[in-house]
Amino acid sequence: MQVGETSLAQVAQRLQLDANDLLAANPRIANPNSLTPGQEIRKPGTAKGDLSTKVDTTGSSNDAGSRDLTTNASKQMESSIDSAAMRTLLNAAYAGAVPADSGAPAKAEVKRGPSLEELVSDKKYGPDVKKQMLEGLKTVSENANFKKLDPADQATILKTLAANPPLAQEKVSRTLDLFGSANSLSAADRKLVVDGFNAAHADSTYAANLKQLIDDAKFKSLKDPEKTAVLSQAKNYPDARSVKNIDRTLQKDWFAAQDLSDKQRSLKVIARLSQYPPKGDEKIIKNTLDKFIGDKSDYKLDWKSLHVDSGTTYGEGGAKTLTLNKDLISADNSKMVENDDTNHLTLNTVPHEVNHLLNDDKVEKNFKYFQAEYRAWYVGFKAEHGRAPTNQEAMEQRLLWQLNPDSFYGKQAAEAMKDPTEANKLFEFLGKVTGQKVDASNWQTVIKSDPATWPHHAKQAAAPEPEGNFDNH
Amino acid sequence: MDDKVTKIAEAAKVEYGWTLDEMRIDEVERLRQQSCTFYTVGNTVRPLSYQANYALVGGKVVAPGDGNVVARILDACSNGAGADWWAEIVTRFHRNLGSGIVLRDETVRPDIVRKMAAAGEKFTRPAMDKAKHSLTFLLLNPETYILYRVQATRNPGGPVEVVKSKILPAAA
Repeated sequence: MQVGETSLAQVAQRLQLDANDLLAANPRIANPNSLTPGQEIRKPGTAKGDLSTKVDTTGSSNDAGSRDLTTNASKQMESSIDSAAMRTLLNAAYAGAVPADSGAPAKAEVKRGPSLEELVSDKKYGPDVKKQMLEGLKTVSENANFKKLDPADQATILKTLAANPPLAQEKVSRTLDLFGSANSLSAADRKLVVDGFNAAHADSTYAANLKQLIDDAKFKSLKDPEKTAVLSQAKNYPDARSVKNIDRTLQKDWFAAQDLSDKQRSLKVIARLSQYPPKGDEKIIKNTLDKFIGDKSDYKLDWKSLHVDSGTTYGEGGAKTLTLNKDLISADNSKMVENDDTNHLTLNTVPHEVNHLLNDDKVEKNFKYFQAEYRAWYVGFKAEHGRAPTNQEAMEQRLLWQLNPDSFYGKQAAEAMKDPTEANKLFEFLGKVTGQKVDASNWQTVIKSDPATWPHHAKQAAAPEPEGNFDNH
Repeated sequence: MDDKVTKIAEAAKVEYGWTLDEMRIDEVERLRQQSCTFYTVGNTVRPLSYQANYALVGGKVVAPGDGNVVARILDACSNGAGADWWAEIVTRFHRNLGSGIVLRDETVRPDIVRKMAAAGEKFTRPAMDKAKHSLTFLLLNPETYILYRVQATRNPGGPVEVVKSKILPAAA
C-alpha cells in the first residue's frame, strides 16, 4: 500500500487486480472508498489469514518498521475468532501511529501501537473472554464518534478496556456514550475524561454517571474553568459514587452561588467523602452527603477563613449551614492533599457538624449538652473509622477534653455538675465507659486512670451509643 | 461586667459577630502577669469547638496573630514567667498553632505520657534554652488527638517563629 491510497480501487490498480475481485475478497470492508490507515486487505485467492497488504497513509507499510501481521502468535491463538478480522479491527484503531525514537534524524521511523489483538494477547484471558474483548474493542474502535477523538485518547481508551475485562455490551455502549458526549468538551477537558475513565478501570457505572454529568444542563451552563474543576475531581476520584454526587452537587443553589475557588473546595470534599466507604461508615457518610446534595435537602456548604488565629478550627455549623475552614483546603483542580488536617476536616468534621445541626444542639449547662458533644464526636469518629469507638478511645480522644476545665466544654460541664441530678447522669455515663462506679469523690481520678486497670474488657468494648440521632439520618 | 471584660466583649463582637448575651468570657487566671491579663471567649448558644483568645496588655486588647503579635505580648508580660507560661502564650496567640493543650506536666494528660512511653518517646515538660532563644514543649490537638513537639524561637527584636513536629500517632 502506498502513501496516499485511500480506496480499494487505488490498491487494486496498483496490484493490477480487478477492483471487484479485491472487494469480494474483503467482504468486511464496509466502505471501499474510505480505507483506514493500517487496515489490512486480503488478495483474492489467498488463504484465510494471509494478508497481502495493508493501508498505511503514514508511509510505513512496507518498510522495515512494518510488521508481518501473520505472526506466530496470531496463528496459535486458541480462539475461534477470524484472525484476519481481528487484525483489521486493530489497524482501524491505529490511526495514531507515533514516531519511534530511531535516532535517525533524516528520516523518522514510524511504529504502530499495539493492535487490538495485541492488546489482549498478553493477558491471561480465556478464549471466550478474549473473543468478547476483541468484539467489544472492534465495536468501539469502529464507532464514528470514537474516531473523532484524539488518536492518543483512542489508544488510551482501548488499552483501558483491554486491561479491564469483561467487555460486555453494556460496557461498550456506556463507553461509547461517554465519549460521544465528551466530544462536546474542549480537548483538555476531554483528556480529563479519558484519564478518569482509565483511572476508574473502565467501570461502566462510572462511565454512565460521567456521561450523565457531562450532558447535564447544569454542567453545560458552567463557565469553562468550572467545567474543568468538575471534570478534574471526577478524574481525581475515579469512583461512580463520586461522579454521581458531583452531579448532584451541581444541582444545588449553594454550589451555584460559590465562586470558582469555593467550588473547587466543595468538589474536593464531596468527591473524596463519596468514595471513602467502606473504610468509613457508609450509612453516616451517605446520610451526611444527602443533607447537602439530596433532592430535597436544604443544608448549605460554605467556606470561610475560620479565625486565622485558630489553625485547628475545622468547621462550624449553624442555621442549616456547614461552614468549613477554607484555609485548610487548597483551591485548585488537584486531588485533595491528604494530611491530618484535610483528613479530619473532610472525614470527621463534616459529619460531626452536620450531626449538631440535625439534632439542633444548643449549648447548655447540663448533661444533655455533654451528650450532644459526645454524640457529634461519636458520629465523626465512626464516619472516619468505619466503626464505633472503644471505651478507651472515647475517654482519651474525647471525654478527657470535654471534662478539661480549660476547654469550653469543660467549663460547661463544671457548671452542670453543680446540679446533683446532672452530675449523677454524668457519673453514670462515665461508669459505663470505664466499667467502674463513679461518683463525685473519684471521677477526676477515674477519667485519668490507665485503661489497663479498668475491669476486664472494658477498655476495648464499644463505647456507649449516644442519645439522639447518631447516624445523621 | 468590669471595664476589662467589656473591652474583650467588644473585640469578640467585632471579630465573630457574637452578641454579648451569647458570650462566655473567662479570665485564665494562671496566666496573669504584671499588667497583662488573658481571656477566653466561648459561644453559649452554638456548639463550637473553639474558644477565642484575647489578652489585655497595658489596657489594650490583643488578639492572636503572627509571630510579631506574640513577641509584643512576651516583651510586655513575660518578666519572671516560666516556660509553662511562655508555652501557653505561644500556643494561644500564634496563629500557626492557634489552640491545643500544652502538656505542662505528666498529670495533664497521663494517657499521652503512657502512649509516648509505649512509642519509645520521652515526655518532657516545657523548657527554655536561653542561649538558643528557643522554647520547646509538647502540644496536644484535642480535636485530632495528635501530639506535636513545638519549637518556638525568637531572635532578639524579631518575631516568634514556631515549628511543630508530629510525635503521635507515630507514622506507620
